[in-house]
Amino acid sequence: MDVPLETIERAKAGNLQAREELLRAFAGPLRALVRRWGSPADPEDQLQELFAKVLRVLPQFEVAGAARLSTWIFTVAHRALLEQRRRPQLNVVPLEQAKQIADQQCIHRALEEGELRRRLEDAIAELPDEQRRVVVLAQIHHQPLEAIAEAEGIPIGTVKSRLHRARARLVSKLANALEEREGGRHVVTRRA
Amino acid sequence: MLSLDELERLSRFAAGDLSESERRQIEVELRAKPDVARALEQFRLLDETLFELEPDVSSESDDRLIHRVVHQRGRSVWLMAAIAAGVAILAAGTAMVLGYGRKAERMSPGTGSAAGPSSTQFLATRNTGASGPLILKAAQGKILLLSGARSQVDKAGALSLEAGGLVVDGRAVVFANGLRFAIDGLAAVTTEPGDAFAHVMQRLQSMPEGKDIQMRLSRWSGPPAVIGTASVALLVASGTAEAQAPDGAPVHVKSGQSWSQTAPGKTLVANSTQSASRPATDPTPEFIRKMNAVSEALKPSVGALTECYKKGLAQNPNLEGSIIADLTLGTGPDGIGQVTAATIAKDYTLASPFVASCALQELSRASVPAPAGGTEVVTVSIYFQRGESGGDPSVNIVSPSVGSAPAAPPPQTAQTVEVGNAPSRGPSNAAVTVVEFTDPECPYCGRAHQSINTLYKELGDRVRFVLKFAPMPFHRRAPGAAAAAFAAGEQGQFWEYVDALYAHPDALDRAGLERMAAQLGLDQKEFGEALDSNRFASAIEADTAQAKTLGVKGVPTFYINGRPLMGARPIDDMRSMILEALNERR
Repeated sequence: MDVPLETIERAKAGNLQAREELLRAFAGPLRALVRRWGSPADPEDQLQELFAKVLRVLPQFEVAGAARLSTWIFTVAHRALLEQRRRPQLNVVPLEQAKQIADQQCIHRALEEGELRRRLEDAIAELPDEQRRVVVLAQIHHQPLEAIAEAEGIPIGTVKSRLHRARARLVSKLANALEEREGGRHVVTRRA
Repeated sequence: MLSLDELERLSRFAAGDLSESERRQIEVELRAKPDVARALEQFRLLDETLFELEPDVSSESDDRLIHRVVHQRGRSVWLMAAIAAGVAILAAGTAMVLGYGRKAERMSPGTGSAAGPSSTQFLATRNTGASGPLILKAAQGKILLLSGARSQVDKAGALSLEAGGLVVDGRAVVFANGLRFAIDGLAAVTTEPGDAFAHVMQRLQSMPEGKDIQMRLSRWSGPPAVIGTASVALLVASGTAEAQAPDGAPVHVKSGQSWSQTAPGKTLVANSTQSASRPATDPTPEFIRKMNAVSEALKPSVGALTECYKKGLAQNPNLEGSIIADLTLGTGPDGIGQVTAATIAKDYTLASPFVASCALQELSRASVPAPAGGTEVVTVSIYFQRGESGGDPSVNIVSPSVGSAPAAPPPQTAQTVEVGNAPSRGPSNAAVTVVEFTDPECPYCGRAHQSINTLYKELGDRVRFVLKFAPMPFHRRAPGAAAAAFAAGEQGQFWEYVDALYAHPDALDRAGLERMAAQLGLDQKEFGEALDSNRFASAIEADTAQAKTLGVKGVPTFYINGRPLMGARPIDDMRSMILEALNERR
């Protein structure tokens, strides 16, 4: 995500090529962020909105300021997603019947490589919104807690309690699976 | 297991986020309590795993989006223009298909002229002065006909929807299936069977012009309105609408509400019980011929199914798996074969209800060979696979009895399932034996076991019910719970104890197991000694190994005279399969 200072300046000044370059550097992380927010809206649309938002506020970014570009962009993106969320509740009704059928089985998939990560992603997706946002930013995108507090508009103490609460939930939910990770017992059986 | 509060404190400890005295306190606990030390280790493992989660997901559409944003090609230009000017936007192709009393049929994308959005029709209130007048007296705003919709405009300027769906953004009166809808706001009307909301969203997704409306509709939080044929559903996203029911009484529908008029007919995800028409043994040449014909008929749907899959991949790039669907074939009024119901039969490994539902919808549109008489059920497997090294994702539709599948579905023919010394109830010489592979920690197993209890009460004099444990590897407490059931069995209370296990899924630790034993009045000392002896482990391992050999992929799985039934199926399914087996033995 390293963007040369010169590119940032050119992008701020409106150079199209520099703007493309800057967005390209953040496309992957922002897409990951959008995905984990778990909003049912079209991720492509959300990503496009984020790109547009970043370009709109880019002139306000101070190259010599305290924030790194990545932290600044995550803060902007996070706020934009919050804003989207605060519009009338985004809530797509799940296709209940199909889901029920999916739920009818505890799929007997062994803990092969990736299974634990998949379960962790699922567990993160099930966290309450405000806890999930903090975990995703802090632990997956490695953003400083101060920046998260600013983006969320809450005191840093609250960020910490949400983060630790979320981590407690994750451990409580995944305790057994996490320990499977230990003794190299990932591969038990594969699906036939 | 530590409480959430205790875990949270430990998380703070791990992050160095505690006061000096609290930190010392935990250090003492770490030495004294193995539970606490274990949980701390779990936090370390959590961090390790979190670190491995992908912070960067790139997609081939990134460049396209970036280009669009940087070069400011907004997707909502047309919409804003229409609202601001209050004029009609005549999409290419509109003028030729719309007019008083004339059929309006949507053209396929790409057939219109180059100007403007090409795949949508918009009707508005004023004449643009452009190519042909278009005045809908009954509309002030826009009506977006969803792709595939058929409609007609009457002399009063009202639009009648004959099939498919539409979205009204503004004020309009529309008719659908003979019902009148007066809409003031943003609302969708559809006559498509199935999940109305899913249908509208899916159609909008395939229409570039529908993106904005899709975004606005995505805030929908009302019921999805599942409807059958000859029926209609109304979803009001904002504003209000009035639906005129057949009896003439107007029904007011507010923002966030849906209204539907159902009628018997084709429904999408229905109960699946028609196992009788599935081949049980070797397929006959006639059956193979028929399946080949069905396979051919379904081939044109692969493209649409791939589109469904791609949408799923956009949400989850790792999505892969299979579904097995039962398609009920019937004959339409025109004598042409059609799919009258599409159901997920079993073994659902594709973790996306959206893709599964989308695939069923597409399959239900296929033209198929007409059955000889009445209806027929065919089972097809659909495999969704990501492309290898950047290749395109693929979808394969395979009929189980013809062709070869990338991974063969489990055999439907009866297998020999050794009962051995497993606990059983019902006559040992019964004509039908039901073997249940289960796991005390799996909630669906508990639900299915309740059905088994009911069926035992109904059929216990004629059917033998056997229980075997096949705990999932990540259910740590399941083997202990299974052993406890065996220990209770030594005191004559196996089934009672199994019921207790499923009634207390959260209490499967040693203390919980002992509590259940006490509640059943078991000899505690004997029970404890039996548990400590570890003498049941080999039986549980043997049952688990047997399940694996049989090809059991999930629990619960049942074998009814050797024929597999996977998952916690509705009790009616289980009952009919058992009765079928009883009939066969007569």
